[in-house]
Amino acid sequence: MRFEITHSTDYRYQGSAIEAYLEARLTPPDTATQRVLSHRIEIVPDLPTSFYTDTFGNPVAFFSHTLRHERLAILNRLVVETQPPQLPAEALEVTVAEARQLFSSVLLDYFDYLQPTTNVPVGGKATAWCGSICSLG
Amino acid sequence: MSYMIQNRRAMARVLPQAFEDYAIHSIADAPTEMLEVLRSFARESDPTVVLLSSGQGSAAYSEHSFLARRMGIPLVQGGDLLVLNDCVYLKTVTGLERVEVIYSRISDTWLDPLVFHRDSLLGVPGLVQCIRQGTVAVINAVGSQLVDDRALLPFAPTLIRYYLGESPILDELETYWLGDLDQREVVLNDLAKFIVRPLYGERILSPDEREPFDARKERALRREILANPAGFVAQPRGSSALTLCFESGKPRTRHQDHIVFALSRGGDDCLVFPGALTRVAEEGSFFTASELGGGSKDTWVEIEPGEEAGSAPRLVRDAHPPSRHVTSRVAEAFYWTGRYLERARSLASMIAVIEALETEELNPTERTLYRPVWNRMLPPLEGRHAARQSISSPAGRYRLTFDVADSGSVVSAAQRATWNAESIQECLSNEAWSTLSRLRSLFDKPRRRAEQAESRQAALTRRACEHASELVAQFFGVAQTTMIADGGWRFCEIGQRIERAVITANALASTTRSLVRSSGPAREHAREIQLSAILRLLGCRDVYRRVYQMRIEAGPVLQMLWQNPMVPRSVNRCLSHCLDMLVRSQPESSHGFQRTVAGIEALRDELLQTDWDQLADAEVEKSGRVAISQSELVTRIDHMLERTLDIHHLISDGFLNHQIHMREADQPLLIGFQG
Repeated sequence: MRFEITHSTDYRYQGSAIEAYLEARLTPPDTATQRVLSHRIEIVPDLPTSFYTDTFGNPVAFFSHTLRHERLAILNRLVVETQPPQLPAEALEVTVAEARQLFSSVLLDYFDYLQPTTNVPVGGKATAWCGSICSLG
Repeated sequence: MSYMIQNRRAMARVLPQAFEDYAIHSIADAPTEMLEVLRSFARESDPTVVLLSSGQGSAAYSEHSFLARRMGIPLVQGGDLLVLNDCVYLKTVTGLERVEVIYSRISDTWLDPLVFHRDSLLGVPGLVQCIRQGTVAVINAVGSQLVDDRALLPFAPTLIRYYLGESPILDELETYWLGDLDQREVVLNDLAKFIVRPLYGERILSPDEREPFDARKERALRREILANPAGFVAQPRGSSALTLCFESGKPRTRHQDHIVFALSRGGDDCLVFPGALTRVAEEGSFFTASELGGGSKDTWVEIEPGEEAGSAPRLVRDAHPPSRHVTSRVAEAFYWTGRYLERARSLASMIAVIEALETEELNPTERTLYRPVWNRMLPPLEGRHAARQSISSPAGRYRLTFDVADSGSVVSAAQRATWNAESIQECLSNEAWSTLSRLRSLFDKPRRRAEQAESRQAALTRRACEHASELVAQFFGVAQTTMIADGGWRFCEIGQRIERAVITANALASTTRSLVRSSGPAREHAREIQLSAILRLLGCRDVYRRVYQMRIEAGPVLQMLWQNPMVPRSVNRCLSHCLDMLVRSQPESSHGFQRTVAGIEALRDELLQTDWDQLADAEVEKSGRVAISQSELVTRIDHMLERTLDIHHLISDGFLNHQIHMREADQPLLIGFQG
């Protein structure tokens, strides 16, 4: 499926801001199930942008605005093509106990993803939702 | 590190004979060695190196200030730096200066609010991106504070063997990490035998030798550990180093520790300074940190027979004189100190004049004509819609003097001035600072008591106001006599003059309407009384008499207060003084400088070219028949007030917040939006 996505953020300040520093995580990574066909981040006013890839593999745009301003707009346009995930059929044959074993052997690879964050704390709604589906041994 | 050097200096001064029989290594050169290493991290041949401190709130601020001074590099705070196009710049009054090396003395977690603690005001937003891009070197590297983690201590020998391929010479301190179930059990089973500390910092949870370790204390300690076991380590009691001290001639045992300093010069090249900061606890205490009662002492490394003493101490090379640049933060603090002090002084002298007038025999006509003038003329309030309470009663004036909740009061202005001055205390002379301290202590005691009799309130108000205006004038005098007249200080004088010009312009603008209303020959007497009130409040009545030697009339009053080159209150004189200060502080001219000077000169020319006498005469002839909105005088004065207020933006954009330096001078500052 092909998606054309426009995502815009418009900051309007009550007074004037003198300095602004932003990191925009608006670039989806290419994965097995999705491909980014085109992508452009427009900033108004036009500001030089630099990129880096964060520890989770997300491209991040960084820019600073050091002149007095009352508005700042970020417009993100992208076209993404997705494909249905190809689930490995043999995985369904693995028992839950076996799956747990496999999971614990690769736990270290996912350690960073499993850490609580300010937005997703442990014991919050997400944990409760997980608990309703599967019991975490 | 400064304590290591200072202890040696103190020792050499107090006990010079102690050094006679021993040959010891010198550590006086340590800051120079450190600067060399810092400079070597830059790509440029002559890089700008700064020391990033968290400011006066930090317990180690004196150390930061000492090191920066000894290395001859600017001591900066987060707000002094700015990230633009992936490079770090130092904001100075002469423009933005590219920074290549930052010696950071703030904790990593506060370094960049975009990456670490979001609410950090100490750091520099975008700094980590500059590190990623390799445009700036931050020393020590982000993450290196991990080595302070005490949970790593048990692994020290393994780490040394793995990374260096060498065997450790010293044994590690026996340490248990309480995040581990087995180790925790060992410790909790015999809690009295251990000293429990957090992974970082100087705190010690276990009671020291001066207090008994009873069941209640043990329960509390156990509870604190179990709340977050992974945050603590335990070390056996008796494993810390002891030393012998003499007190009142008797030897006593004390706990001590050594902190050794080393410089990594790349690869295997490491320089360990031949000395240490040796910290000694009080008797019976474990705490060696100075903020917890510990002291420190000089530590020597002897030169072995046949060993070279090392190079003789070198002087810092002439090629790198201390930075002359005044940072914008310092200039801004000076500027606001000047502005608030002048505001406090003007307001205080106005209130003192009113209190004095109240005791004089004013006739009822004078009283009715004076009072509206008082309320209008006070310095403008911040915020467009702020309203001032009436000050026609002693209670109102008492409030306007002492009420800290009123942002327009004398005490508020004095407080803001001292807060600004406090943030740059190291730039002020002791004499200037002590004058400010006296101003602050004038308002220290909470004196606001509503039940006080009016006469008592009036006396207190008058005394405090007279005293405050004297102290402010004294501060400027003392500062000019005792301080270096560098770029920073000049901004204090600029702030003072801008504020004074604004107060004069505002006083004239706010009283002109009622003057226009009372125009016409029939109301000559009323007009004269009002004009006299204006001059008295501005402290200019005697000056007027000396300049004009005639009755008080609107034309000459306006002429004197806008144009006179000698009268301290005149807008022209204030602006001329600002121009003098700017020209002297800016040897080379920048966009900001040119724009500001051009703006002030244009305003000065305009007010000098205005024929105030003629404008005022025209109003008198109209005899109040023309609506206020059509009065040319009112329009002109309102316009001049706006322009005087705008000077602040010119100064602020040009020198303090760098809106100018990044753009061509002719481009508009506010960026327009399309769509």
